[in-house]
Amino acid sequence: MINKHATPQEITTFLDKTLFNIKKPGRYIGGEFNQIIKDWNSISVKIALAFPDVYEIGFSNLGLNILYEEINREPNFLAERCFSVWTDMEQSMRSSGIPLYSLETKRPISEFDVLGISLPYETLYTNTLNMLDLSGIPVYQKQRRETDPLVIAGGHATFNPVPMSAFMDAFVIGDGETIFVKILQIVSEGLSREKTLEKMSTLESVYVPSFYDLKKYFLLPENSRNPITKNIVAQLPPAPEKPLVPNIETTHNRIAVEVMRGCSHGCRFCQAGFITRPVRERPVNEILAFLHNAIHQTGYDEISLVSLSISDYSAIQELVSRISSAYKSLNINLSLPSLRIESFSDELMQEIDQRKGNFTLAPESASESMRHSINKPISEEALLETASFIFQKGWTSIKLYFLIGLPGETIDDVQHIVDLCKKVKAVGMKLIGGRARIAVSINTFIPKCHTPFQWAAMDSVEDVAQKHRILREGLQKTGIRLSYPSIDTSLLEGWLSRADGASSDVIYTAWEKGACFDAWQDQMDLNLWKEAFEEKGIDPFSYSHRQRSPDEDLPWDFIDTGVSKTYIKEEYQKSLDGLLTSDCRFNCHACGIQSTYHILCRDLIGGQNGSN
Amino acid sequence: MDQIEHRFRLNYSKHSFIRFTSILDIQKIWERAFRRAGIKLSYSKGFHPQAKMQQASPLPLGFCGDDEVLDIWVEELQGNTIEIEQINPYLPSGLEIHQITPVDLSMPSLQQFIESSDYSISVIDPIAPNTFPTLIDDVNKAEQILFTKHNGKKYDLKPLIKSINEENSTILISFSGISGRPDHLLQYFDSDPSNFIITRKKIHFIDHG
Repeated sequence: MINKHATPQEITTFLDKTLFNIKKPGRYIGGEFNQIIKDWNSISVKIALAFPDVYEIGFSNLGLNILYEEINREPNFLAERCFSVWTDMEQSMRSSGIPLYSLETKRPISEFDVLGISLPYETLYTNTLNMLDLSGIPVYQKQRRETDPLVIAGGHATFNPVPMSAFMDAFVIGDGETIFVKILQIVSEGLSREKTLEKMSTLESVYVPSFYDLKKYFLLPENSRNPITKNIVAQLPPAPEKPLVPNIETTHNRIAVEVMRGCSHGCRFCQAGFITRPVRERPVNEILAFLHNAIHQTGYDEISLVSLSISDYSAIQELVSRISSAYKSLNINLSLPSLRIESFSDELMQEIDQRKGNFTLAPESASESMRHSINKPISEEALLETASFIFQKGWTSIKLYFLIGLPGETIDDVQHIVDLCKKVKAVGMKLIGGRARIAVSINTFIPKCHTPFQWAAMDSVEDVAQKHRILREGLQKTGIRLSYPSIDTSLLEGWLSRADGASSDVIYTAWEKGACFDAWQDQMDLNLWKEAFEEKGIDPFSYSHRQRSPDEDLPWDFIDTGVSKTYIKEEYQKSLDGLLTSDCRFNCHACGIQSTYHILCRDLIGGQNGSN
Repeated sequence: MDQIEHRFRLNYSKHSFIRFTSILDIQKIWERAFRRAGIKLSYSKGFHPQAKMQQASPLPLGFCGDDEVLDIWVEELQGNTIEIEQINPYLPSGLEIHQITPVDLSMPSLQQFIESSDYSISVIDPIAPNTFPTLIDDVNKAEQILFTKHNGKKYDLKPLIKSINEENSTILISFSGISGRPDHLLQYFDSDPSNFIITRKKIHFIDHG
């Protein structure tokens, strides 16, 4: 039995005695530089912020860090952090009755008023259930009592909140900034659980599932609002002033600054592109001021500019050159996530540090018809030109990202990927000989909610296997490194991402059977999920592989992303017709964002606020 | 371009939970702390420049240290020296510097001059585990203490032990050189090291003038 009222002292003693025999014990200790510890007894509302994967992964999550600082800035609130514990630690904790605790003050999670969970992807669902259980908090929302924390989830996966509705007291849809503080203000009124949730549900972007008929999963009670509109901050709030610095190596050991939120390209496969609209840019001067402070606050030696499509940032050239002139002499590196192929400029490339040796490009598809279908038109000439440019500038290694399993894809389209990779390799060989390295990373396309492909069927297991074979055989003995996720991994993501309310019990059953760390290819066991679906009498392929009619009611229709369903439908039709939609930065296509939020997109970009 | 370099010896303690960070982690922690403190370390030349730092002897994961020794090479010194207060506010909890001394650049590396290392072993839980009181007797009686390491290699702990005694229910043990490890000793005598806090009290250096 978990002792959910263990004292911080008991938990500390447990850690002292246990961590010596635990793998990577630095995950469980907290104490990082810039950690915030407030006086527990003088604070009215306490929230534990959780990321349901191991410390190294969760630590680097930007959203968590933003909320951590935003909430702690409020004098009456405090936020501490917790992450999933690895299996060896979980075993030790359970056998000693030690509950999940916060890293800052080693307090049981159940003593917090709110547990805020970040759900960026579906394969964290079972970890979430496990965290609740390890905290001694009833896993089903209906079974919680007055003294249990309110469990609230947010993040990209919650744009279809229905599968996790049975486990969450509330969901926050959209940007987390400003709204969490509003929620905590409601909690601080000290009302009953029911009254608190009722009041929270009056916020536009908060979904409280207990007020809905979950069996019918998207039918709303008479008095409720329909739909629930995602939260946006029209202007990006200041980036964290004192980013946490880990004591152990994490996925990203660097200063991350979000330079832009949203993307204007409208690639039809990309969920982030549709749910994070509108595009909002942070002014150059604000970014530079942030970096100046953050380097001093953290001591990191690497800067990463975060955005969905960094080269779209209006003042990218100015930004990059000002960063490199300021920090190159200090041995501080600048890293950019993958650049769009058409956006290369000589000047930009000059500024980027060459120490890394690896350059990432994401053409996604290799044939004309697929490029039109997904609305990412990049010509072969442009790609090869870019590749030769990259090799000439001193890089020796290029990583290429492609998608397979797109609607309407043929075997020929996959063969084109093979041919294109070989051509890139040939360019490299010609320019720098055997030093040229090409790595190809293939992802299986998974249709996601709120995108034009939300009605589409996922590619069949047989077809995906055949396409893998074509790629494997085609790239054999070429020296090109090929990687792709297992079919099982893609299936699970496909099953969960467009599931309905009936899937809650399946998630619970799979977890009960031992499913956990489903995002880890070596931990995920699809058989547990198959059994769980079967026991609950649900065909998982009806979620993933069923072509839906555009007139069908979808479980996530009550979530309004600001982009109209009519627009998404048009985009789907254009995809079938092979028609492109241009970058909306230059030509508005009336997706609905401007009218939903009463904003003008053009006001939010272009380095407003005096810079540029 | 020739930089004027300075070398300093930092004596610091590593306590509490940060003891569960590895030597590689600690390296990064120091590097970042110096950058926060505005102290410019020298970097090695070449494709992957490395900050110039040298730990006397890596402290095993999970051990506390009362008086660890780190040499750093600094360029562009502001003033003549570095003050303790210049760095301590920039350290994560559990690390604290208590002495900084300038060192001649020509002095050879620290590792070569370790004469002996003093450790203490104390129980975490007041309920003493059964083997603890007999450890000193066991050690004294043993002819050899052949411990098999993770990599399968054996080493004899017995000749490395300079002294072992008990004080206020804490065992104090001194090993010659750097290779003897108290956790190995405990394991050899069937005692789980996780029941103890092991602290390296001091590293003794051969006087090399």
